[in-house]
Amino acid sequence: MSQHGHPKHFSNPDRIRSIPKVLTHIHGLDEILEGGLPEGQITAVVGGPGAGKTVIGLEFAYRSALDGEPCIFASFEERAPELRRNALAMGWDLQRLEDTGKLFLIDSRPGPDVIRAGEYNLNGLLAILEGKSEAMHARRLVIDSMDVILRIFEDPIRQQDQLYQLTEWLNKKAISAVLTARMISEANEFTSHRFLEFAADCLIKMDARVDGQIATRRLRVAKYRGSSFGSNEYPYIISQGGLFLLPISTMGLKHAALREPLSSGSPEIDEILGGGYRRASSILVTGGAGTGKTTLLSTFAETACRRGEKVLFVNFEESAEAMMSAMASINIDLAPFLRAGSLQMITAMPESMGAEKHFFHVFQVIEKFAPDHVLVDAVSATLRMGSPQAAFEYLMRLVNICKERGITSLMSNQGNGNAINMKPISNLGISSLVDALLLMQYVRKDAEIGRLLLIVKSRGMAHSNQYHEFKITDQGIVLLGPFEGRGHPGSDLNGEAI
Amino acid sequence: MKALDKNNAGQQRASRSQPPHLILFVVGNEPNSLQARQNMEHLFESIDGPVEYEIIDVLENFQTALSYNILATPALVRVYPAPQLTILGNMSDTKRILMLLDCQEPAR
Repeated sequence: MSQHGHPKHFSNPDRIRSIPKVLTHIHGLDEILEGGLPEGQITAVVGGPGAGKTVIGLEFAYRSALDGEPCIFASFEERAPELRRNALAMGWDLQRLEDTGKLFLIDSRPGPDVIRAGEYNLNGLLAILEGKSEAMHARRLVIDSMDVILRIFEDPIRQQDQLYQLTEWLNKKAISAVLTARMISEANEFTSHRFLEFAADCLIKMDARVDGQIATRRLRVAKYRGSSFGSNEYPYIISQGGLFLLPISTMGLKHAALREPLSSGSPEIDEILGGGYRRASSILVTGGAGTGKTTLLSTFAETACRRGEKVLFVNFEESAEAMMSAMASINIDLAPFLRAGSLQMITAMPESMGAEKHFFHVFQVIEKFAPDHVLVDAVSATLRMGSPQAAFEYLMRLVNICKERGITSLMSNQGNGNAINMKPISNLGISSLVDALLLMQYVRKDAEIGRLLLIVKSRGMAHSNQYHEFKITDQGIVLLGPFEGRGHPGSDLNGEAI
Repeated sequence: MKALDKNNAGQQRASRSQPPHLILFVVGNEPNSLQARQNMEHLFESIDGPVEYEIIDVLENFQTALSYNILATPALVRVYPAPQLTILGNMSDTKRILMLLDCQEPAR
């Protein structure tokens, strides 16, 4: 592990030899860039106010310095003391790196009024950068932002001309540079910003916007000369530790293998599962309201905790107390494990924060707590976090994170109960994401309601293909045997076909 | 180019405890910088009284340039009298510069 907390190597065995790149170590960014920023070339980061241009530039400088790569951060937007303070809030100690000569902050805030008396140019700045980069052996540079520099020149032609001088110098010295700039206004036909976008070898656009009443941020690589790249918009957040991107592109490459069967908590269910849930697999339990999904999850949680393992329970449906008292009434006692700390619960209404923020919160807990298993009740609630796309991505990322770490994920989904008709999420293909799929539903049996459990699929396990009837008693779930009655599987509580 | 009222300016300067302190930042022998040097010499013909004047070549001394927030060059910094102000350019607008150096506030 590098000191950035990510695996040290970016491995992409199928990648054809491409241009040399420098890793940014910014979470998720190197995947999208397929190896990092272009070495010795110019990357432009363009975005509106609050999008995070300064953060991404500063993080690149910080992590370069941390890696032993001297970097200059030329700040024309904030003063150095302010930068250091803001960095500290993210856990970055800039001063220490400055003291060891790995990082140098230039802070220059030219006054608002430029007094002009004749011709001038950027040679002074270039001379300063030259002198400092030679003295430090710095091959990396961040300028935040170009707008401030260009503002001191009066007309667009002058600005472009000076921009050209700068880019020429950067290329000559083979410096890996990140230049930030504000988003161009669409009104201007050919402004200096357009020129910057043209001159840059790699162009990253950052956008802070409101999507369905929820504030969200999206990053997009608009171009990358000489390299392929993830071309979608990727959500990101800015939090402790810096920028945090959530790319989907490399999922599946680093998944841990499925391991030994684990008990579900009920020996009879284990049997129809063909042994149990496989460790490090992803399991989805789908069913209508009240069919017993939470019970199934809690049964597993209790058994796992009893084995001495750690469980993280993400609860979108109700408070920890409400859930645990409901479970306690059917003899599933989770309270001691919660007290002991081997069970952690995250409860949050999905409406309270956007999908990315919530996911990041869960991710942080997973990193810190390192659970053996992650339970989610119910993933369908993520639909209330924004769009169906956001919900699907949340799920994808969660399953991915768990699989990368060999964590078993057991998730419930509130659906209408018909295995073939998992509308809320399966339209987006979730059932192909998971290793095992269980269905719980009601069945009308003459004068009463029964419950059925069906193992729809379970990769690598010789599972039962039959519907099994079960009851929820004060001792938890009790299987009653294969369903042989004359009821109609697939009916909901009202007896309607689903 | 006419110099300003030398007598008045001279009296003003005489009443100050210190001579004005000016720094001209240049970059080697590039055209604007050479122009600036020349123009400044020309400018001093119109100033009587002592002036503390230094020329700093950013190529040789970038640290000082950094400490004065110099980005564009040539740049003339009036360190004293306060407030410090920076004038960009090859100093071809001598008249304006003289006005700026003689006033406390930058002329608009």
